[in-house]
Amino acid sequence: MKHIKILSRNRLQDTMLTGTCEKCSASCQSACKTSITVGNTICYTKVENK
Amino acid sequence: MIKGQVHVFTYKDKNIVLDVNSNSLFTVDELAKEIIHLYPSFTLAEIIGKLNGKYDENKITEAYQEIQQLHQEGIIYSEGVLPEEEHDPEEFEIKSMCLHVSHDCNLRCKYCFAGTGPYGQKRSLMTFEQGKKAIDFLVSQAKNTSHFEIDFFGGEPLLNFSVVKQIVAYAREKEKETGKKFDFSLTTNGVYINEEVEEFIANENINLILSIDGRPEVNDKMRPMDDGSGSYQTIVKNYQRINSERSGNADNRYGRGIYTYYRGTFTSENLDFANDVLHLSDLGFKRISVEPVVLPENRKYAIKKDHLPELFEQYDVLTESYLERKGTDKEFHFHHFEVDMEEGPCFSKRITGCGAGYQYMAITPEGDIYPCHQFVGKKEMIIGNLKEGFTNKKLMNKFRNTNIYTKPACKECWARHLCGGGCHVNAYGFNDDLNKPYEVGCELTKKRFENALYLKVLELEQE
Ligand code: SF4
Ligand code: SF4
Repeated sequence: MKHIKILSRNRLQDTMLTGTCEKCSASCQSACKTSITVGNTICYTKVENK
Repeated sequence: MIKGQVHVFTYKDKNIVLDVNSNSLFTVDELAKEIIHLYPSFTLAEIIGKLNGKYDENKITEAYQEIQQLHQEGIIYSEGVLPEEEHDPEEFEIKSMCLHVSHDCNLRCKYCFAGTGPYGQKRSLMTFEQGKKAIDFLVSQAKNTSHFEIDFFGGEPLLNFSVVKQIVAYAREKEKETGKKFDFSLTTNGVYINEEVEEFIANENINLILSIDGRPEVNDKMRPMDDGSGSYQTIVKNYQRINSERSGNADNRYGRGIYTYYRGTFTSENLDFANDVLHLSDLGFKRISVEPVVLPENRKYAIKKDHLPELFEQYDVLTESYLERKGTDKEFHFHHFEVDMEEGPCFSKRITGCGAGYQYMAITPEGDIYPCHQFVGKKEMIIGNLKEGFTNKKLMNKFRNTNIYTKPACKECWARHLCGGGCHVNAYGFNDDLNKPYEVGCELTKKRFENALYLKVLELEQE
């Protein structure tokens, strides 16, 4: 493509549609303590499977 | 059905496009950027009409067709469906617990949300008996959870260090008995860190959240000791010792092995807070999280809407410094710039944000159970106690059923799958409504994500 460069191609909307696996962080208690933002938390399952 | 949405913005020389539902990331040239702003509301002929004179018609057609192709393939403006989740309203699995082992503190921080320790109640320490009950309760109510996260919090938890040690020892016994695992963290102001504490945290693999606001004058103005003197000299000495001992953990992040965060707060007194982050980096600290104070607008030190332009500039300064220091011995990680496009949590998690009140709870020295550490002291938010268990499942269900698609502002917001809907405490505190996020916080969140996405673009371009 000449005008658009795809840097990261994902299908977030198709992931775990039937509930969470409950492994990711449930609160901001272990880092910033004021506000969780999900974009900077980690999926433990993906890390474990690496 | 969740309709397709993109966020287009320019940062420095990059035109960046985020596809909101898929979390895909693109860069585009100026022409494609202009077309994306008009697409899909306008037809090709209309877009040519609007952009003619500025761009060659063939080029407009070419760029339009690229966008159209990606759209048809579901790569941009991608749609989604809401997850189907059914919960038994009587059943909960809380896996994270904040143990308020001390409702007392040796500092008198001016912005403290705990009212310098007691959360508007009496100063008190948790007994070992109460801590034991909390561990037992945690394990008994979460039958399917194999991994628990526990934070020792206060006030200052090291004022009750002997009980912290007893609770950890008890939990280790429980691990053997039940096969479940406990990860611990300690949030401390650092004054009482000594050899004994260091040995304990090293032996027990305790994660650390170490409070410090940055430059000495900033820290000491806001975080004085109970006798009014500054805390900076004492804590920096302690933190640097810890930092050298735990340097092997510098790359570990929240949720990945053993980690150490240096956690500061900025207020209206230090709107130039990038200097505080850089000061912490100069001290050799690697994982830094410096957060805006959350206080009502009429309170001294509060962050207000008028401060936003200056704060945005500060995030830009940090972005530049982050790049300059990358690969040098001053490299640092800023918590809010660490956005994963591929390794982050799944869609279901992103919709709900934190698990306050249904996956997370805070326990006071008296045994009251709150949905989150920051709700402590707001009696109407009590969801139970250690004697009777959960007593307000209605409220717990309210937390569980509040998500970005129940919040009108979040539903339309481009940052929603990165943000998760903001902090419940802020929504409740500022707007008296869990479904109405705190606006100033939203503006800061969105700015930080734009900068983080810019850094991500640079990283991906180098791969
Ligand atoms: S930034 Fe604000 S409006 Fe956007 S998703 Fe987060 S809380 Fe909701
Ligand atoms: S984001 Fe807010 S409500 Fe959620 S755990 Fe953190 S402080 Fe509590």
